[in-house]
Amino acid sequence: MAPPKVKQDMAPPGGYGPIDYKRHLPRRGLSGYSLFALGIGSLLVGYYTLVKWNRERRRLLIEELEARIALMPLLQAESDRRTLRMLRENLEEEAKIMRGVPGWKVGESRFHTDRWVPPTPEELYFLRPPAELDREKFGLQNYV
Amino acid sequence: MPFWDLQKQLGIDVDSWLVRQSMPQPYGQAGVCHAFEREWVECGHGLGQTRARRECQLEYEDFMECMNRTKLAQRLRTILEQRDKLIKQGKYTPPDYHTGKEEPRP
Repeated sequence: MAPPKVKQDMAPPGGYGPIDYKRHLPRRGLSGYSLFALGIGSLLVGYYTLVKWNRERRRLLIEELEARIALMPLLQAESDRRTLRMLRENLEEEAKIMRGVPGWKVGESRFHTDRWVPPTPEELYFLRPPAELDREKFGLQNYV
Repeated sequence: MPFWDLQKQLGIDVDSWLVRQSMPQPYGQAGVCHAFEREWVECGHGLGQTRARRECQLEYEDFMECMNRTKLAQRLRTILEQRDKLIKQGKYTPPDYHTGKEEPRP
């Protein structure tokens, strides 16, 4: 016998319309080769700029070194005067301090030779507060 | 290799500057005790180390003093102890330029 006629939820007559299931990737932007070219081109431009700037920096460095060479006699003379002044002060203080000590020769050289031996910072600053010695040794240093 | 003298043959200087202080140093910077070492080596040339230490005693002592500064440390320590003793007894006051109150000058 025929199936009973029931009201079922069916598709509309003629079926559904077309369904959009394919993916839609937009075709935009540069191609792969041109991206490579862009990257490598920017690299080359960067290298070129670096080389130019490094050469300029070398020129500036040479200029600074030449300025240092030009000023060297003045700075060396000042430093020598300062060293001699400190040695003289130390000698006088040593004479005052060790006046009563028997068998002490003031300003006695430790070496058997007559040559000028440049004094060490410790020798120059030993009567002064230690902060001055530290400043002399490490005052211009930024490295920790 | 002992007798090949490779560094002079090839004209390079890999570690000759390490052998003695008086060898040519990089950047031409002489060592601090260069003169003392040179004098000792010139005095003891060809003698061998033991004899050079014994017979060139004065130069050797100067060289060691330059390197280790033992006599200097001893001397400074004596002076500082004497100074502290005198300060405690009240017989000595350090002058201005030794207490950090000196006005700055070049």
